[in-house]
Amino acid sequence: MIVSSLNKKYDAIVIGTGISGGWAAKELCEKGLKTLVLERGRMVKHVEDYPTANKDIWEFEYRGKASNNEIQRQKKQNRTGFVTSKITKHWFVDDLKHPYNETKRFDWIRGYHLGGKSITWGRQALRMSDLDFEANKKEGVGVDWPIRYADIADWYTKVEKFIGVCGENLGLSHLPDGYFSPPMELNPVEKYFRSEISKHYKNRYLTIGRFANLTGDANHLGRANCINRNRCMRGCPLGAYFSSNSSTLPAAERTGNMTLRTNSIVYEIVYDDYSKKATGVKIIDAITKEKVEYSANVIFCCASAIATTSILLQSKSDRFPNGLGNDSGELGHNLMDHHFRVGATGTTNKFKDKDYIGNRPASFHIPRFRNLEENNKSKFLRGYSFQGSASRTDWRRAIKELSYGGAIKDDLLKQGSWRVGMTGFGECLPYHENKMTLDYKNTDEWGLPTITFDADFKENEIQMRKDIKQEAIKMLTLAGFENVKGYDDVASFYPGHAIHEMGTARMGHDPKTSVLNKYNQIHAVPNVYVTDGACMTSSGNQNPSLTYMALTARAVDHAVNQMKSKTI
Amino acid sequence: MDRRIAIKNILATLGLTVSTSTIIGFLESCSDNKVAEVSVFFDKTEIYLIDCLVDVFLPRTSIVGGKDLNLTQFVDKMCANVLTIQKQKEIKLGLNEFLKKFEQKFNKEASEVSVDTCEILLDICLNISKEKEVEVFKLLESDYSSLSKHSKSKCLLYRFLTTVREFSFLGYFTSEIIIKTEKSLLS
Ligand SMILES: Cc1cc2nc3c(=O)[nH]c(=O)nc-3n(C[C@H](O)[C@H](O)[C@H](O)COP(=O)(O)OP(=O)(O)OC[C@H]3O[C@@H](n4cnc5c(N)ncnc54)[C@H](O)[C@@H]3O)c2cc1C
Ligand code: SF4
Repeated sequence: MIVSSLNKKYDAIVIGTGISGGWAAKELCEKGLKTLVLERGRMVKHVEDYPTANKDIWEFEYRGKASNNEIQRQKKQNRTGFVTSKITKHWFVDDLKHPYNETKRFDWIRGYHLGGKSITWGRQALRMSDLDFEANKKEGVGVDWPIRYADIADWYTKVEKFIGVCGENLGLSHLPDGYFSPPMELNPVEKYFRSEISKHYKNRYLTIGRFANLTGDANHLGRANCINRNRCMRGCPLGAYFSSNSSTLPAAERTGNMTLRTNSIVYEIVYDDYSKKATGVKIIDAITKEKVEYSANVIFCCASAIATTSILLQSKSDRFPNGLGNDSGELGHNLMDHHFRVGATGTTNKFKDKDYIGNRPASFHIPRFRNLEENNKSKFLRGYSFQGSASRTDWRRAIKELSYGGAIKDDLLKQGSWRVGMTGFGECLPYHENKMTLDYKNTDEWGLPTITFDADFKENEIQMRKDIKQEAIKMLTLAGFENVKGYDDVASFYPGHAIHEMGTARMGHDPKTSVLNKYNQIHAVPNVYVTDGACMTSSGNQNPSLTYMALTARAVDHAVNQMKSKTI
Repeated sequence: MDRRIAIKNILATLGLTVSTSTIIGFLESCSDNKVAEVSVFFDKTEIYLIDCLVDVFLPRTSIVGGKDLNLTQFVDKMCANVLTIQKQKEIKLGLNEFLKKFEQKFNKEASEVSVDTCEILLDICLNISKEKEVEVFKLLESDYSSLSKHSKSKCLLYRFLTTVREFSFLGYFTSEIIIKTEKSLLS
């Protein structure tokens, strides 16, 4: 196996260019470090490379639906039920080219290209709180987070300022306020639901979601305000939502300190037992299959939770026979995701005089209300929040009917009655036995081991789900909605489905039970930082990416100080 | 050429900016024979049946109908390329169930199917009570292999009808002309 070694040494290497990698690149470069940014996928140039951004639905073959042949190549991505349409399929991997194994079903949804999932993320940007950071310790679950809200609050603010998050502050300790631009507007039915919820409950609130879409008058270089096209997943030519491509990577580039190399699959971090540090990384060029080694003083792992953990597990040495930094044996364990697609829907015949255009790229949010107090009485630990929206139905209201004919056809051109729907987003506990491992017998086309998943949701999540459905029904009923129906999409009750995979290289105080310390450094290899979802000690119920970004910015600050003081 | 007048009138009243080539495109595709020539999934007899169904599902009113938008070809293409092999088989079997019904009811050959006869048959199959409608969708979601012989043929029949109906609706309501019509109705 010949690995050509390039002489040039960088100050830093970042693995991955998604939400966390973009942040690592920007912060490292802005702090003056010559940084090599490695991305396994293809180049995606902001604006130029969003091929479907301006297309109308009738311009897509099969009106956007993937053909049967296309689905064969994205069977696992297609489990989501929406990402493989012709509108967005190019942002998700070819499952035949990038296989993985399932001892138990795991929906591993990935985007291998510059920007990673930052292009397609749903942009919900929520802070975690001490209710989340203290929960493991209080309940004796997993290990204690080595940080508290105060350690990360300022970093959340820094991130929100840069990426631009719109939303409403509520003054809740369990969903901390943030640095927000003006919120998007709730529509009349959502406003009504909000007032009904406040009327019936003391600790429940409906607010517009906190979204990384630009509103207000703050200046974001090279980006414009959102004009409500709700086509974000295609890539926004205005840069009106946050992605690495529109925001962090251009910022890194502007410094002149970034060297970007796409088609570069990192497969190993090189460890030097003499210095007790990592010296660099090995890559395979995805196209030429050439192997190259790059060296740097500090390495940021941001390839997304599973991929980062895979790289660490592959990085074996005499010192670390079970993978880099895996003294605890926890690397690959405690795999978490959120569970969702359980809730309720309802309709109302009121508000018929209110039209609804329906392009707002944001949903409403009902923050967690369960187990806020220590003397909770629920049958489960932790809690969940709701995301949902109200809109007037369109022609699709007739899909599950047998109606036909001229009058029906003409009627379907008009807006139907209002419908409201919401889904819970529930916390999943960290279970040691939920894990990913490497399979060296089944390798991919680059000869690298594939990943095997062995994880499932358990009793706590099942009990929580029952409550989610019940409470959704109750709230809609109390608010006077009609045809209220609960749902629980059991076909999607599998880890990975919420695309919030995390936890496989957790942070903790003790090197014996965790992989990373409180600054996201590998306990035993202090010049390697892991700042993507792998670092999460518990999942909270909040969409997690804002936390990855804040932890990344904080970790870079730490790394640069350590480098200055020559500690690493 | 009353179709051309219908389209032109509608476009004019809506003040839409649809290119001339688009209108010509619609018109070119309005010939019944052409549909049969280019179909890929359905054969000649079958495509004629689909054409009739599209016309009954989405007839022309003061607003263009399904045939004006060449939806027969669209339905054919969707069945050929978007449906799984299993669903494709079910569609063909379901179509035969429909034709069987037609032959029984009218004592005619399948090739003699017409818009009028389709209308009569659809009235029997689709104009049913809400409860029965719910039952149909339940049947469509059930495990086919565990169904009785009678339920199997019913399931196939409705698989065929609901699929053609859904693709017709999809093609219609996501077409350029209809989306623009919808917008203008809103404003
Ligand atoms: C449809 C959708 C909706 C979502 N909605 C939300 C939401 O509303 N809010 C929220 O917080 N989160 C949301 N998420 C999740 C969010 O996208 C992820 O949490 C986030 O992108 C993770 O960031 P990351 O940097 O860890 O990984 P990614 O963004 O996935 O980026 C990882 C990058 O690393 C690259 N890479 C992988 N392996 C290697 C390797 N070996 N060598 C080099 N490069 C490598 C990948 O190609 C990729 O570019 C959503 C995701 C999807 C798909
Ligand atoms: S909704 Fe806003 S952010 Fe999304 S694509 Fe449209 S303009 Fe861009």
